[in-house]
Amino acid sequence: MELVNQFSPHKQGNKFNYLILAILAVMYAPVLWHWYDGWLNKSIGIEHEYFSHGLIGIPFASYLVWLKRKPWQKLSYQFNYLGLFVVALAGVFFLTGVSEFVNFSFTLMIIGLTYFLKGKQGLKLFWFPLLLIILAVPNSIPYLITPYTLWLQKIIAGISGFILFHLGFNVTVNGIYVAVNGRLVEVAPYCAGLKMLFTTLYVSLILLYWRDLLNQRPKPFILIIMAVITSVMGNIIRNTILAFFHGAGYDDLFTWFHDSWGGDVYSALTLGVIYLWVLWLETWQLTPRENNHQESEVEEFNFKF
Amino acid sequence: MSKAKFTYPLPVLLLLILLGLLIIFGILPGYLQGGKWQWLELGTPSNTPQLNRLRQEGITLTGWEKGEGRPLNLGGKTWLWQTFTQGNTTIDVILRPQPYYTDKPSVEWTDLQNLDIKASYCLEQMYEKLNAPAVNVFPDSQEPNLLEIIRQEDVSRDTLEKIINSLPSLCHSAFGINRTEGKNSLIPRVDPQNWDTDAPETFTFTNDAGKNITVLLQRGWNEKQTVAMVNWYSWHGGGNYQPENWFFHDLFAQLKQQRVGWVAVSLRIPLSPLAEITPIIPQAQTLSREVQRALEQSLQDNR
Repeated sequence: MELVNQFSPHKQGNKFNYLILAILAVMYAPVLWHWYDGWLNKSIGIEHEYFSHGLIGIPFASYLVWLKRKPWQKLSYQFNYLGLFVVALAGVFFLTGVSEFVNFSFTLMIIGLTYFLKGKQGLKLFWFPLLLIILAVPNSIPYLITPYTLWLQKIIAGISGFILFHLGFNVTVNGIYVAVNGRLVEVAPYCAGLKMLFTTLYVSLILLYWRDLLNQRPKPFILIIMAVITSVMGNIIRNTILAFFHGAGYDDLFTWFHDSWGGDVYSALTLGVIYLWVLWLETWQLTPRENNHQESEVEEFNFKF
Repeated sequence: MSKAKFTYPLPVLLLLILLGLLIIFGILPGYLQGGKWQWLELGTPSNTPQLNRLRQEGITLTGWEKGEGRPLNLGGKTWLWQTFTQGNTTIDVILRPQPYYTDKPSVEWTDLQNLDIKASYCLEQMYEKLNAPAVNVFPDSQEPNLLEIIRQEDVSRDTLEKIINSLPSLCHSAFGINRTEGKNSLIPRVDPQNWDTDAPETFTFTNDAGKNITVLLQRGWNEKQTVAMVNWYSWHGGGNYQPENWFFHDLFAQLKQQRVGWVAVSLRIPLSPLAEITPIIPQAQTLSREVQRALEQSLQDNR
């Protein structure tokens, strides 16, 4: 009867969950506050802003977790040591005090705790909100890939130059430099549009989940491909407009579009296009797959033996 | 039974102990100091003063005659351009010491790929000259700047020549005077974009401490000159041409509450027009090693 006396998930489960949540909040509230401050006030750095989709992603993920609290409570506790090990590892990363590692510790901590408490079932239940949070945890990957975006920068410079030339401007392109009327614009690594690509993919993911399209293959793949194309095309047009503003001497418009809210409006328009793709995908009538077909084939195959 | 003593399974106890320790040692000190978190503060490299001095003074290479150091703006970034002469060989070294402690190396080599340093320097000099007070060149001029003078309809050839000659001597051939529709005008004879880079490869040399440093070797050329460009990020104790190599060095230094201050270096060794680049590697290794040695001496933290 000793088990009865032990920690009982049904009686104490909720309190225990809330205790863990409270500890998490105490640990990571300053970190999350710092992230939000960096996203809202652009005060940390350009790599941090690559993850500004977390502004909506993290609250949305929290909401999804809240919606699924009942199924979560029904899962039985696992308390496995692998999860504990991951939590301990997160603790080590947290204690380094180096922001890169502290951020990463958040990823480890939420995965570790989920797995510790409810094992594989827990991870399976919360996979989507966990994914949304993990993809929003700032890291230095955007910095580390800048050496590999040169080809994209060259393509952008080339196509921008091509478009402006056909619009009748005096354009020369050399590598990543576009000169319009003799005024030089550099397509820098951070102009390669990866930030917008990250954001569009993230928003696509949320839209797929929200409109319940994730299970309707091949729609998720089509949306992801359309999102990549939209974002890349959008970025080429954006760079073309910037080169035009600079070359034609509209320096205030250039600043507005490059550094101010002009860029945000453009991003919002791009995301609007993604939403249009979703609406378009929803009009598709998928012919129901004949489920028996494959099975019967297997049966036939078996018969021959 | 209803008031039975409540016991926790071992893993739960361990978890609570772990989280408790984290709170006591990881969080509480920060809260008690009113939100002063270690991860909020990125340290500065301990050799920041040395980096700043390097930006002004550049390096000295033993056995080479040092030319004047010139500030250079390439693709919106500031560099220091130095020349060194030995016999009839002149090499160029351009340096970009870490401007601010939050600045990371940003693949500076792509900025350099399509920019001619001399043309960039001379156009920048002319731009500054034209916007500066006219009295610097013409002591009795009433005009606020030279731009007003060259815009005049009746600007004389002599005046324009005087403006060109007031530039550093290496820029005298970079500008010419054109007469169209009865008006004299200044025209640049050089184009900063007139520079091509090809044949990239890497080679490795060792610094005095025996650390391997891998650098990017490229051929840079226009119709006037061909050079071997040797590019890398240098720091005290090492170097590499890839930004990520610096990144991980710096990240692990942060664990010891240190930072790695960096200097972007581009060394240019003259080649005969459009010569093969591979045979230059032994010479380039020797020179790179000397430049690295000079940089490490400059970056030595004397505290």
